[in-house]
Parts: sequence; structure tokens; C-alpha cells
Amino acid sequence: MPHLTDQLSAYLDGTLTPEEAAAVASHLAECAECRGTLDDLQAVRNLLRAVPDRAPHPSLLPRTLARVGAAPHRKVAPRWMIAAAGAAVGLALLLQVRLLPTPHTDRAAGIWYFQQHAVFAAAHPMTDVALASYLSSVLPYEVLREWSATPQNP
Amino acid sequence: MVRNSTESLVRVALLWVLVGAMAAPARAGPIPQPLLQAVRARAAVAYRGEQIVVAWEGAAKAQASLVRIEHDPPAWTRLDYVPLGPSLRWTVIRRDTVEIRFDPLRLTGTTGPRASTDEDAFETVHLPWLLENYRIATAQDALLGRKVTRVELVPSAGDRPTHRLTVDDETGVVLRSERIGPDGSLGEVTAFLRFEIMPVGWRRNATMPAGLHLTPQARVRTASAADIIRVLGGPPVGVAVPAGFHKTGEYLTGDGPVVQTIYSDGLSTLVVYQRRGSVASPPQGSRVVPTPAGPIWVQRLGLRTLVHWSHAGRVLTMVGEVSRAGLQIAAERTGIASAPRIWDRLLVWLQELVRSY
Amino acid sequence: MTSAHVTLNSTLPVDELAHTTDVTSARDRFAELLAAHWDRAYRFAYHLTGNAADSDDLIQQAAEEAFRAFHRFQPGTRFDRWFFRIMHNSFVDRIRRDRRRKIFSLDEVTGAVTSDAADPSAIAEGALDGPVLRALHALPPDARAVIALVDLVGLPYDDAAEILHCPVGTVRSRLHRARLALREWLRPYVDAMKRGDL
Repeated sequence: MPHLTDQLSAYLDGTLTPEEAAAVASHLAECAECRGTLDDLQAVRNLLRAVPDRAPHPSLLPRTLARVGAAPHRKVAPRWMIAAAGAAVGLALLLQVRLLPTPHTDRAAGIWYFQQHAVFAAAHPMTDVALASYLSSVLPYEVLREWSATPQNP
Repeated sequence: MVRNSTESLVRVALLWVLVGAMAAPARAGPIPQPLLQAVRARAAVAYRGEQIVVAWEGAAKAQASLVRIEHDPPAWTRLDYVPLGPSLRWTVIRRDTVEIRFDPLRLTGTTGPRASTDEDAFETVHLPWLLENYRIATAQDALLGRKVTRVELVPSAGDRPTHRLTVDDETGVVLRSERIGPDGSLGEVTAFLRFEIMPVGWRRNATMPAGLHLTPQARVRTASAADIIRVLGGPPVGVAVPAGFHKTGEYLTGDGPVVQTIYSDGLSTLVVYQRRGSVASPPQGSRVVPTPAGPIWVQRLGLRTLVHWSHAGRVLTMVGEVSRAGLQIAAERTGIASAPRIWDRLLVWLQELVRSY
Repeated sequence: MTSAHVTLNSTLPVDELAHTTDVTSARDRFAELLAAHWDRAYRFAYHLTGNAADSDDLIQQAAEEAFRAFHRFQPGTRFDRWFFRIMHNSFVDRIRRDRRRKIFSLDEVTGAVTSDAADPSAIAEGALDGPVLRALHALPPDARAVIALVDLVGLPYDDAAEILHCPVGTVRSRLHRARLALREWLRPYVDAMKRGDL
């Protein structure tokens, strides 16, 4: 039997039917090279699974929800606008004027820093139990409140 | 001859006594009993009651809430907030190492880590700092039909809040607290309206409400030296902090690019956020303050101030219950990068523009 | 000393959320569904784009598109399949646009993929994400997408097939070829993993 190809990945992921799996198993019993490949695939999968979880910035979800269904989002700038912007930039260099506020899409709200500070400050044993939680809770509920107050329905 | 050697022996002995006295940790006095009790009460005393919590955000704006409390340490604390004013209600439950917050009507909310303390370390490490940095005065009083001690903690440094606590003599629970800003204005007040001691274990069978839809918040974990170098692309830059603050820990949130360093002066907490970068993208809500060395960005929320700037290829944000002047001095002593060259800012702006195309 | 604790990963009920009363607005329903799948969606976006700034953009844009099309979403069906497909389509569009001009990438994961000696300190500290993510990002977008869905987000083949709009057999063969490619780039780490050094 020729060497196994993508059946090996499917075998590793458990997506073969019992008959197919039995056929693969019996081939593996006799083929050292395919066994080696299976081990390699498993190692690659383990390396991938070991990559730590990427957590989004805590303010990203509230910001996203706030934008959804809101007034027109960024329009795509047609090509000619880039050229015009280029000229304006040149002018700005001369006049030392800020053209736009720095458009960092993931710039944290100041309130996120305050909230994190309150989370750490809450660890102090003399901090009032209710106050600590109150101070660190302010942000999410401000945003949720805005969200639920809108009467629009798409 | 014998007299001389006795003299020199005595002199040597005196010298050792002196050395011994200097080597002993400088203590500003004994720890007042009410303070010790207050430190231990949160983890030891079970109670229920109702409090009012008021926090001033600026001179004219205050947020206030009633809160119903169930406290059964170590495993259960439930706080049901009923804000005064047009805000939604919300509930906080702390169970073991987790804190969840949710809207009790919609049952949506978040779940996240709960920062907790090692009480023994606190008493041996933090309390001495507290005694160094604050002058303590006490007086007897009565509140809610209970005997209490009023404790006032006044900072030696003039840039952070004064704390006034009303501590229950029997249990050490803080029945009322006030925090007053360095300018004398009231920043935060909490006070029990109803208070009742309960036996420990009284909420042993408490359960989380059913049907909650919770979004996990980013994990917070201790940052190792290797983590810090990896996140910052090099060793952390030294940061000057206001007098009396000592480092207590270093953390990463989620897998983000920010290292958080926590400091304490025994009572007040200071957090410094550090990340790689040379153009300080200012936090939303802050405003720029030009200084002789370069720009810093400032934001205030009640007793807390945030100062944000860049230095030595790092972007730094410092948040604490310290006046703006105090944090600005810390920033100046650390070093402030001059305003980014217009070229750098234009390049960043162009990259953003092209990316959004 | 203060010490922080690890968060609890709560299991989120998935499509029960779609069966809410008519009183709640579409916006509320959308918000709840998005929140329930948020972390996994972000993980997919991050591994597709390779950096935080682009993944933030991608997920925000996809959320806006998804909300505009929300009337077409059948309540009770799999929101994650539907939303991930929108994200993937948005990503593919972006790539087509980007090919027309050179883009500055604000990548945190930079540097050439190399298959020479593994970095021993990375192995010792278990800090493998650098080399692994670099290798992942060197894959062509199709291959990267299928690895992201199956191995990094943990979805079954049929979910991936729905999301990528292709037959299950294609998912299987693409996945296999992608894993073999990663095996070549990550050879020293694969060997270390097989030896039990990791």
C-alpha cells in the first residue's frame, strides 16, 4: 500500500470512519515511515496548541459594540485623496501643524488604566470591600448603559 | 593597664550597642491596635448590611450608590449595587479566586481575576511602610450603637489622600471611611447604614445565579524577568516614584505588550504601565501638558491622577492617588522624551491611513 | 505582597442565546451573541492577521458588517460559523486590496522564518510562540486560515469547511499540507517535542 497522505491528519484529528481508521491503523503497523510522519504531525499540533491564548484588549468589545450600527464608519478614501493628503502633509511640515489626531485604533481609554489601578488597590486589606469593587466596576457599566439606552432597531 | 582595657572594652561594647540600634529596622512607633484589627477583619469577620458609597469625580460631579452586602470570608462576598441616579443596577460576587460582575436584570456581565493579599506578608511588610509614611491619631467614639475608634492617617508627603476610618472595637470592621484629597476636598466616603455581625460560614450554601452569560476578562499573571524583557524588547527602564512608595509586584495582562508594576506606600497604591514605543499614544480622555523636557498627558478621576509620557524608547503611564504635581515630578525625575519629531508622527499617521484604505 | 489570581474560564452557552424574547432588540441579541464568541473570534482574527492592530481592525470591521447583515442570520443556528465566515471573507478582501500596494506592517512577529538551529533558551523557557507564530505567518493565507481554525481555535473539520466555504475534503488536504510545511520550518522544535524536551 502506498504511503498515507492526508488520511494521517484526519486519523490524528479523529475524523475518519471506523473502517477508514482501521485501514490506517493496519498500514501504520507495518510502515515505519508513516508512523514517523504521524509522530511529526502530532508534534506540530502540540506546538500549535502550546501557543498561549491571545487575549483582546479589554476595551475592544465595548468599543466595537459602541460602533456597531452607529453613524457611518470610515469610508474608503479614493486614490486622489491620498495625493491631496500628501500635499497637505508638506504644508504641515512647514507650518508645524497637527493634521489629524493620531488615529491609533487600539489606543486605550484612560479609564482602563484607572480601572486596572482600582483592581490592584482592592487587594489592600483595609480597602473597603464595597468601595473597591465600586471603583473598579465603573467602566463596563457606563458602556453597557449607553448601549441599552439606544431606542434604534435595525 | 587593666583600667585601659576595661575602658576600651566598654567603648567597644557601646559601639556594638550603637551598631545594633542602627541596624534594627526603623520603626516609627508601635502599630495601633485598631489598625491591626482593621487589617485582619476583612478576612476574619462575617457580616451583612447596607452601605452607602459616594465617590467624587471632580469638584461638582459625584457618583453614589447604595449597596447591600453579604460577606462570609474567605469564600463568599456578594454586593448588590443600587446606584442613586440614572445608572443600571449591578451585582458583584466574589467566590474563591474569581470575581464576577453582572447586570441582575439581563444576567450579562464579566468574569475576571480577583487580586488578593497575603495577610502575613502585609503585616510584616506593608504595615511598617504605613507607619513610616503616615501619622496616626486615634479617638474613641460610638456609631450604629457600637463602640468604635476613629483613626486618622495623615500622609507625611503632601501629595496624597488622608484617610479617616471608623473602626468597630469589637471586630475591627471599618464601619465608615472617608478619603480626603491633598487639597482638603472629600474624595470618597463609605458608611454603613445597617450592620450586623454573622457567624462565619453563614453563606456556606450560597450559589451563583443561574443563566449568567459572562465574558471572561483578560488574565493577570505575575511577570517574570524573562517575560518583561520579551514584552519590552529589553530591560525595563528605571522609573522614579513619589517618596515612600515601594515595589510590590510586576504583572502582565493577558498576552498584551504592557508590563504593570505595582507600588505601595503601605496604604495607597501606585501602578506604572510600561510598553515599548517612542511615540506616546495618549490615553483617550487625557490632555497634554507641556513641560520643559517634553510633553506629558494628564487625566484625573476623583482622587486618582494619570500621567502618561514617553522616555528612552518606552511609553510610561503612572496612575495613583497622588496629586498631578507629585506625578509630574516623578515623570521629570524619570526623564521625559522631547516631543516626537513631526516626521515620526507623520509616518505613523500615513501607515494608519494606508492600512485603512 | 499582593498576588493576583488566575481567571476562571466559564463555559458559555452558545446558541441558547439566540432564543430570547421578542422584547429585546436585535442590537441586544447581536451584542450577546458577539460577546459569547468574542474571545475565540479574536483568536481567529489574530492568527489570520499576525498582529494585534490588524486583528482589532479586522474584528471591528467584521462586527459592523455582521450587524448590517444580522437580519439574514437565522436565530438558533450557529452564530460562530456565520460570524467567522464574515471575518474570513473580510480578511480575503483585505489581502486582495493589499496586494495592490506595499503596506507597512506593524507586526509584532517579524523576522525571517529560518529552519536552522532552534533557540535553546526559547526551548528551555517554553517561550515557543515566537518561532511558531513566525512559521505560521509564513504560510499562505489559505493554509494559515485552516490551521488557525482547526489547531488554534479548535474547531472541527465541518465547521472549518462552512467558514471557509469549501468541501470537508479540501479542509483535510489543506490542513495536512500546512502541517507538513510547518514541520519543515519548525524541524528542530518538532524533534525536541518528540524527544520529550518540551
